[in-house]
Amino acid sequence: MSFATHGRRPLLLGAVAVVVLVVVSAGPLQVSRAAGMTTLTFLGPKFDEWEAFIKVANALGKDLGIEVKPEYLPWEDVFKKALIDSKSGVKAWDLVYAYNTWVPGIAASKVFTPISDFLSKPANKSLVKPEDFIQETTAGLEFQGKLWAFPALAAPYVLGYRADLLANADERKAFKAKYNYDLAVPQTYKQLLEVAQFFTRKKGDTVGGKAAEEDFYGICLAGKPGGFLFHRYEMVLVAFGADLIYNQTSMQPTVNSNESIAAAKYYAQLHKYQQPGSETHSGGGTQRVFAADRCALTMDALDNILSVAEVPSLSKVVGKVGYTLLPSQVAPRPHAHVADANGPGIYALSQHENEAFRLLARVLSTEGTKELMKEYPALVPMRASVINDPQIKKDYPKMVEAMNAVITGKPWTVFVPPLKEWVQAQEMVENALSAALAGQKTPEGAMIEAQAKVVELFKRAGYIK
Amino acid sequence: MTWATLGRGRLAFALLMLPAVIYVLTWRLAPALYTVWLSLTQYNIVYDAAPQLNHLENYRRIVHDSTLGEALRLSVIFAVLATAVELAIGLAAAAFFDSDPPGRNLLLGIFLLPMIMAPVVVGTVWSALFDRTVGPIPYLFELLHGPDVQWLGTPVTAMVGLIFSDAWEWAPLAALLLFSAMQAIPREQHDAARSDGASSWQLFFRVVLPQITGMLVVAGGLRLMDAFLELDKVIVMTGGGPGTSTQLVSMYVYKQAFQAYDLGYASTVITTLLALLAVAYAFYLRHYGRTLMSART
Repeated sequence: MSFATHGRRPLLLGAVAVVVLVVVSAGPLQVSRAAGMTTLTFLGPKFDEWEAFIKVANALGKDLGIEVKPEYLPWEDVFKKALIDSKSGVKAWDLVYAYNTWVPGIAASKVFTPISDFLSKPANKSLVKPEDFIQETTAGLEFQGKLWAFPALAAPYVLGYRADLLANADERKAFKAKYNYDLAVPQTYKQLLEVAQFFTRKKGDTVGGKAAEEDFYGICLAGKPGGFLFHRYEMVLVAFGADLIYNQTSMQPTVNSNESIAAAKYYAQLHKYQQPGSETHSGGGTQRVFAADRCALTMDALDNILSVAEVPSLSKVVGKVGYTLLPSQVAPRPHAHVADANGPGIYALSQHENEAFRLLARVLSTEGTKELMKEYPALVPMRASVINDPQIKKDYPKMVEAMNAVITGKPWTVFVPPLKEWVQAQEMVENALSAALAGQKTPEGAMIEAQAKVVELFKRAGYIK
Repeated sequence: MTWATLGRGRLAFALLMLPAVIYVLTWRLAPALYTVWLSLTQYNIVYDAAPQLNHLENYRRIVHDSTLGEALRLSVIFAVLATAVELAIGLAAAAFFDSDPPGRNLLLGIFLLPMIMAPVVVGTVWSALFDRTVGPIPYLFELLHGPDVQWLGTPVTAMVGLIFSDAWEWAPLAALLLFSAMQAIPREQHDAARSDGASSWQLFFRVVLPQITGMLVVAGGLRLMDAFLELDKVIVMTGGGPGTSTQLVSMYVYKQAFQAYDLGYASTVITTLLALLAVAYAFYLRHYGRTLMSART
């Protein structure tokens, strides 16, 4: 074999490999182009509801000549990715998932084109019917008078309780004997604490007439650092009459206020009746424990509970859970809660803004939302027309029961303040609370320390002197 | 060959060196210099349109940043303890493999598996193992009537949990390095020591250990520097908690950069850390050189 022939063969093989690779990689693109489809990209978390969104978007998008390709990231990384890509001029995205606490940042950094900009055209407005959105749920996606993401999934915080246990005659008798009032769905945080305490049992003890196979806990709450802990705690914080970290008028931090310290002390007490290991549990992980028939109560976003507790393949408590508003503590703030909202926004550097808007209008219309609910039954819709639909009422009674409680009960609702330093301030309080729950510090001492840190943060930001 | 003796070859030499120089300048030096420049600015990637020079304000802030001080302290504790555990396990494992047990190659392959796993996966695995509700470790404690340990729920046990997981992942590296050093020792030395009546302990401490000291220092140094910058497992297993009891310095930087989006201050912390690590590395190299020399003599 000569040098020439020895050298040609690998070269030829390499050339063939390159051609094959080019053909294979270009294949799907050619198919899309041949079919005349516009391909939109979606950046979001790999949650069941967003996988359902993609499925329905692809089904409903066919008529519009639109298909959607998703890129999934961990929830907390979605905004970071969109932000960094946007700052770098990357035009890879069309639709990006948004969570209400990110909205001030999205607005400030102009990562999205506001949905309101599209709604300024009468044709688009009549297509979307924004008056149909339930205002109690969508406010979190609004900022500076603009709607930044398309309302898709509401996440009101509710109290989930084991209706079967609360109705059990033996439990009711024992509760009455111990606390001198009737066992019922907790209406106040004092009652919540006592019900949680009452139902905290050891393995082998009787719970609802049966011997518990495992330890049984009063309440299941997520406690993972990184927002999960604070997000549950802030429900108690506002219910006790405290500010969300600072007074929004004077900009003075109030982490060490009497109300705030009372809330921290209460949460530390409640922690005794929580599932152990809660410090590593996210919302979904917590609901797995609740659905395993191991807790009497839970406080979480409605869809979080529904997506686990009411799914037969995941849950031992299907049909046994009741849903109601969170308890109250101070009279001016009945059933206080800090609301959540989720929705896809339109990436400002998108090359297909109008197609993206048309697709969202179709998928998140009344009919589209109903299709979404078939794929993801735990979806809590943000349209009144969906909640009031007779078929929906019949097919999703638990969700409708809870949403009606939210709509008619008019809970005192607040969204997190649009503060540039919110994440840092929140983390300072969350770390303090976590230290208190771990027994490192007293709740009071922890909050006083956190106050000093938030004051320093606010001074550095120039809010206070 | 020196620059002076290159003569006409200087141009060719410079041209040949150019790609490497460009690589170092663009891929290594430029980002580092950009980070140093960012450290002198106020730049919140969400709210600021562009970095604004604030001179040494960030460095003044570092001096008073007690949270950073605490994170540094925790990083040192974690790095020292994790490295010590990894070296101890690695040394024992290397001695075991050096004794040529049956199926050595298979056992060695299995032992090395954790090392090739992504740190995030390692964190997830250990997080599940320690989970108080469904994890096998608490269940095992319960079966054996041991104490009810809240593994990731208290400051001390959370740190211990992180050290365990790090040791599980990286003790194989120490073992591999030490095993290779042991294999380089001539078998005749073992035979000679044995025929002189040395026990296994004496053989290990008098013959083997002195000859692998250099590799011990290398393995220790590598692991110490790597463990000091541990991030993935902390994020997955504890998120820095409870409180800030496992918030190592990398986690702190990550939070500044990607939760608070304060790239200016995060760059300041990184720059300061790099300077501290450079000093530590210089000391390490100096000691390493001496150790190697003493090992040779």
